[in-house]
Amino acid sequence: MKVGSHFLQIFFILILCGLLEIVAGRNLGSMDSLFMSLPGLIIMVPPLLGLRGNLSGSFASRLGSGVHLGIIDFDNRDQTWREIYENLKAGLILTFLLPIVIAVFAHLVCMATGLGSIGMVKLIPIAISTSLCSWILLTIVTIAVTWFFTKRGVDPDNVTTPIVATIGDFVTTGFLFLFTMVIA
Amino acid sequence: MSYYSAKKIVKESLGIEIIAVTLGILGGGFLSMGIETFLALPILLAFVPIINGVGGNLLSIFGTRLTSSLHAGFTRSSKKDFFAFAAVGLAALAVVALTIYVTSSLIYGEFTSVRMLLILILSGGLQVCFLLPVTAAVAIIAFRMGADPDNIVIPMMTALSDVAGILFLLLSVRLVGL
Repeated sequence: MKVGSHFLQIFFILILCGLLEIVAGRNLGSMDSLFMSLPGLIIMVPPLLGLRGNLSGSFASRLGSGVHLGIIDFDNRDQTWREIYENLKAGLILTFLLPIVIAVFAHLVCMATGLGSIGMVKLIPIAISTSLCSWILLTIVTIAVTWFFTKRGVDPDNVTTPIVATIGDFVTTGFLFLFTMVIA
Repeated sequence: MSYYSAKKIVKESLGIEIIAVTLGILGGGFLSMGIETFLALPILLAFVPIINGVGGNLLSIFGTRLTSSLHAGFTRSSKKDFFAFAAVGLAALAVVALTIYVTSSLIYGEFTSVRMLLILILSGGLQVCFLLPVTAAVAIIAFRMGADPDNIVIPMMTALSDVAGILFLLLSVRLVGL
């Protein structure tokens, strides 16, 4: 593939994701009042979104490397499944552990600065359930996007991480809103 | 035997994610809170994350391509790649910043200052130009140390771009003026 077409793909995907984020930003803004009214939550939102982006982005990055190494090959299902299985195990462990760290940390920061907190008993379940649900959805999206572009001869490295990060912001915010309504 | 092992991924990701999360809470949270007090321009603040997002996406594509190259042992004409990335990134930043400028002007009724547009492009551009070589260094060092750079590059780069984004925003505001 020519160098030019690579950069055309990258240029296109950067603009598409940038424009989608403008829409996301406006939607996020409307949820601010809910998050603001529950102390502790507003501190927890950015790191939770960041964590989802990091974990799914790294997964996409590993899948991309796997495609180039030939170990992720959608025509060789047995081998591809073995590699994806190890990735899923790791993803599940990280998706479960790290939100606990975030919730505890957010709680401590809020208590230390006198902002107040709705308490770890509520923050931890909100963080874990948001993280787990968005992980399930984004894992499917990441595999599907990698498969789709690889099949069509587009280098997955050029497109997967921005797509996954952008969808991740929408999905995580949605689940966060949902579980905050249910739990808090 | 599979190439990936869950144990290795968890081991390498856990430490770097805790650093990223810590920086996210302390750096992101507090720095941005501090900024709001002396940079009373809500429109600009609302759009900074989007510009940082475009920069972050560019860096993650750059990082992902680089890690694939490291794994598979090939180079994608790295030096040329590097400058092409900077050029594509700046072009995309300009398009997105212009879109923000036009839509915000339509939404808020009156045209916001052209300086805002300049600040957005300048801070995004500085961030990208600063973090491209840093991302490359992080990937190569991680790889040489025997870690999978795929586990390291994205969290490291997001953490750094959160902090750098705010610093370059302040610098751009200083340079362009409001």
